[in-house]
Amino acid sequence: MEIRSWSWIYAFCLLFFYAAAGTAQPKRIITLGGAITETVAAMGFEKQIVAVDVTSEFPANITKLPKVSKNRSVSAEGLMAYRPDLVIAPEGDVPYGVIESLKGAGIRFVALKQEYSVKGALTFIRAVGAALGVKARAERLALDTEQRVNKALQTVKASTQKPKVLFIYARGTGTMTVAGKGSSMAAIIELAGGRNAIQEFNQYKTYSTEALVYANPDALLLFDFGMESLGGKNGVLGMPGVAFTTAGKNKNIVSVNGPLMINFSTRLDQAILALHRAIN
Amino acid sequence: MTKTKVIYISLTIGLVLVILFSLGMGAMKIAVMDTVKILAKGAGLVKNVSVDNLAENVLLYVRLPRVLLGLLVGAALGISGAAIQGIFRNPLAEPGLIGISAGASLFAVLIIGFEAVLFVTLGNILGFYLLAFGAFAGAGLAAMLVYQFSKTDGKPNVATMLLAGIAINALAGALTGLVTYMADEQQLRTITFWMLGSLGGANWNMIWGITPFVLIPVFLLPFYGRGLNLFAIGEHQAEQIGMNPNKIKSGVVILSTLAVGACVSVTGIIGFVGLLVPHIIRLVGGVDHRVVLPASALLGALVLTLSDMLARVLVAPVELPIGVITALLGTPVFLYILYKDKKKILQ
Amino acid sequence: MLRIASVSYKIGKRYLLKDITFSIRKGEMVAILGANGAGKSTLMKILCREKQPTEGNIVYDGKNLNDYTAKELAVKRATLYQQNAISLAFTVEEVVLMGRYGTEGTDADQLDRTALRETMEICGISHLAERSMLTLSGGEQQRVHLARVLAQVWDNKEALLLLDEPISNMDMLYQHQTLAIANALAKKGYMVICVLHEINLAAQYADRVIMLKGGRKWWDGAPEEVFTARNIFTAFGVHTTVQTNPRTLITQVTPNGIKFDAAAFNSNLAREYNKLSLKERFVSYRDEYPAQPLWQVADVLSVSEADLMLLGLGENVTLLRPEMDHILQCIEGIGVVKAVTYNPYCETERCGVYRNFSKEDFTTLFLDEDIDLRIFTSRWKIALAAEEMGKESLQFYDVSGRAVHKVYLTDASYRQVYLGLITRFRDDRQAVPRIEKPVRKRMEERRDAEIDIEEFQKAWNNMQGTHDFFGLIRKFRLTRMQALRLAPPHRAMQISLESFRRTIIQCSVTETPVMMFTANEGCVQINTGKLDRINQNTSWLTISEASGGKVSFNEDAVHSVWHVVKPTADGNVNSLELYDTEGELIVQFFGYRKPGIAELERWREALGSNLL
Repeated sequence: MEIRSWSWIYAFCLLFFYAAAGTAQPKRIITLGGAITETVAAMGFEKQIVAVDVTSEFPANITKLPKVSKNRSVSAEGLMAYRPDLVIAPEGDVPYGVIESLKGAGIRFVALKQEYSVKGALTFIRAVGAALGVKARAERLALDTEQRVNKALQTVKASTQKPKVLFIYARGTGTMTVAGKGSSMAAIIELAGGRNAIQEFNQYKTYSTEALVYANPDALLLFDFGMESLGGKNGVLGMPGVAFTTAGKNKNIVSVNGPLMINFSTRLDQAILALHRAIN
Repeated sequence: MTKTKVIYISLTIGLVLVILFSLGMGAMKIAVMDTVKILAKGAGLVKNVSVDNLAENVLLYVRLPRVLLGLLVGAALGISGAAIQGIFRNPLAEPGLIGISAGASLFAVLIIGFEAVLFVTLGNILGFYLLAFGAFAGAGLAAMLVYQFSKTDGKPNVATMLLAGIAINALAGALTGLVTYMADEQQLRTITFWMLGSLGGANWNMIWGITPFVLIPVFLLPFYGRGLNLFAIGEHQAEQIGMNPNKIKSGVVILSTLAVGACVSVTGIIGFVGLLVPHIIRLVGGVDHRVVLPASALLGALVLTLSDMLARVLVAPVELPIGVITALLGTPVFLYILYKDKKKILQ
Repeated sequence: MLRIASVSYKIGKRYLLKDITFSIRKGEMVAILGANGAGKSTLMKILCREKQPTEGNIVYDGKNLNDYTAKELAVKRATLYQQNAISLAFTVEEVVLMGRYGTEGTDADQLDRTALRETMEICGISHLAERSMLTLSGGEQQRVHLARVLAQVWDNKEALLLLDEPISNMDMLYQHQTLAIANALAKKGYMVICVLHEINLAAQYADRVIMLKGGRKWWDGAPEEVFTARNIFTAFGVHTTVQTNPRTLITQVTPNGIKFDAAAFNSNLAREYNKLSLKERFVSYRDEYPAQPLWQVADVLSVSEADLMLLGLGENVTLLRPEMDHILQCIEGIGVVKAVTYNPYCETERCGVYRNFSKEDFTTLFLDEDIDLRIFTSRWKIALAAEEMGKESLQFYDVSGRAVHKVYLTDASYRQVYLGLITRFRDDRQAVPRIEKPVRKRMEERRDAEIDIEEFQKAWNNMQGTHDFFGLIRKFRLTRMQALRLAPPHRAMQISLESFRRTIIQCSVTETPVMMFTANEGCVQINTGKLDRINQNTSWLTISEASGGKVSFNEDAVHSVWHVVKPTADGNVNSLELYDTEGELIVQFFGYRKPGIAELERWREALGSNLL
């Protein structure tokens, strides 16, 4: 087969420019990532979302949509098959080759970075709005979210306790990591009026019994599915070393909804309040 | 018709069928007629046919390069596997044994790990190709080190090469582990992408980039068929029959490294094909390298393209790792032939 | 024509091959033999260019072997290796055809098919053509490789075939068939060099045999010349009987066989066996092999002769106090006795009276016509009196229990004196004395370069008596063999055993009195007299002297024979000296002489006429 490469590159360029110039509101959107899905939906684009990834669980109707990404395994054709005009994904979650193919096919791809703070959440909302071409709507949503978050923070301030919380990310006893400084969970724990039990390292590191005892948290925090994977509250209490901690002695083992905690978007106020209630 | 001819003809027919199916199947449904129209248009055979723009994009810029990449990588892995098994006189050998994969991994991981230092973000085009070049350089460097260490009295010694390969693999593996351990969340993701091995990133630049590195070895390695046959009865024996075993060794090592290094650099590590494809050929068509080498290239291309198609189609729109498919597909076939014909390889 | 010129090969400082020179003509089949480690394989590796000689060169058809390209050599030289592992399931036909990979040309295909068909036919593998190599037995595989090697040079009748132990895996038929093929090809012009282990096959099929030992070429010639019992013992350490088949005229070698008792080398078996006392073992062995001399029995049972003798303590053996000189002094009173002295390969005996006892420094002397002894009693540790099958004797052993000297009573002995001697010297305790394990202490030969050869030669030429020789080698720290090798011109010449025999026979014909010295560490016995009879019984040569004295030695153990000339105050003294493989003296022959009297002219004549 003879391949006329020049004409191909020409077509490639044309498509690219066409895509870049298009500012019209998207009609078919693929959102990869729970926070993005939630935010896009909150901006009134729920009906336009045609496919999501496995972490998108809110709003509830979204879960019926096809899932095109699992553990960051995503293919260009898998995305294209839904004929999207916009794909939004967290930065670094889509391989370079796939992004190239999408752009080549004239599909707009936006990568968003998320900072785990109140300010970061507001910036994120505005960025999603920009990607969708609805800046004004985004601004309103951001201000609204800010108000709700501030209200939630006041409730938090009312309580004087500052319990030391250790978050354990678990998928069975085999895979357990704990949240260090600068992680999304540390951020939400601080916002909810707790202190992250681990200050020695950044991000998530492998769980060890010794580190648990040394950190001596007042409360152990897990996601719902994490708690389940370890055999419920009793399962966690039975783990080596837990009995030596304040949390273990007081049986202060709590679980929260995972996606809600780490989304850091329009439902940040709910996350703060839920966690605050859980740890106090 | 001789057995050899049967093998070549059936492999070619199989390969053509697999290519057609691969082009026609995927997450996106494209009608058969549309496929033909788009391909004809792309080849410049017809003009002014109206086809779905997106379908054209998917076919020409996503599927076609991916199928071609599968063909190239499969052929490279198959033929290199056969050649490497030939010079090591060991049916368990594979290109990874001389450090190609480990070296490529180490350099890829190093580049990902130190990207901040290099002021390169891997999201952009330079970063992507830096990674590919780095991996290629790593593959070449590791294979060269193994080759140099294997020299006794200035001649490459196969047993030493095996040991040197194991040592270099272990060292590269340890360093890769170290860099992986130090990597942050974001880098880990990139490393995982790379290590998994996938044809998902196929695009035309990639195809143009690796074609010479793959095609030159694929066309030159079959010329080593006689030499590798003689290797099977021993290096000294080969020399007595007028071959230069050192030239064969260096030729095979260099060509295999070129081919496999280039593939690994763009697709990551895809196991199994290099190891089992030559075996399947030998069990079916005999052990003469003059047949095994080209036939392994054909079967490798076939197996990898087929595996990739299945990886894309089975759980669409997401994908299965290709290594899972190659193993699931090849092992039963291999075990069946082994069971049926084990006398051919064992006493 | 293949010429190997002064080829040596060494690793580090060790020579694996030293100065190998020979050439092979077209149409010759040469077998190379030698013990393990003799250098056969190294030589083959050099011939097939796998290894480069450190010294010397090889010329093949007027061109240095190294100047050939691999392709050029491939058509005129094929090599069959001893080991031919195959890693993949090639079919027999494919493997044989590999031999043809090096051939090119217009009618190559036709020649290939002819070579394939004919070689497979003659090697008996035609019926295996489609079989996988991996399903064949070792012998069948080796035949396939033979066919491949033959196919390689099938159409070049001047080619060289190198076969390295080609038949080791084959059954009897194909062992013979393989060598017959090689022999037949050689008859038509091929050159064949073949490493073999089987002497009889080499004798049967090779035109010429080269025997290697310790990396040197020792013998090179027709099988019937090279394969003598003595050569085979020297090369392989095996005693054999060599005969010529009167009908075929082919040399046939029959090994005499080796007998072991497993309990002697397997300590696990020995535990069971050791429940039997040494005495029980000795008795049962003796009953089984009544003719074996005591030292051989001792060897088999891994004990010393003294150990065995002392088993009879309290019965037929009486232990004496080791007051050697006193005992020796008393022997004279017994009258005529038979004195016997041993070393590992030689034994001497003579009847007479132990007269003229004297002591000189550490040496005890008996100087008499019949009993002529030099005794170093410091080496004598055990003395005992024994009665064995009616023969009574005094026996003396060294510290490791080796017999050094024995005195047997004869009909003319005064038995009462003997009994009195036993009573007088009887050891009160009658306890088995300590016997040490024998230690072999051999002087390490120094390199020739470290020796002042000029001074040594001058000192040799200035010797005043034969005894000065000991001082000489001690002063220059030489082994005996080294001293002979470095001797001044015409002072030490190596001669053949045959020349030695001729000389001795002439002496017996001319009734020349000869002095025969048999020595061990503790004793030298000199048998002097006119030679009477010379008998050969298997490998033992017995030389009898007119008055009944005898010297017997094992010819197989003789490694070299030297004619040595020592200057003395009475003129030159000529001796014939026989050495074993370790360089130890077995026996020494002088013409009759005494200090102050010049050597016999007849002895010189006998030497002169036979040694040139």
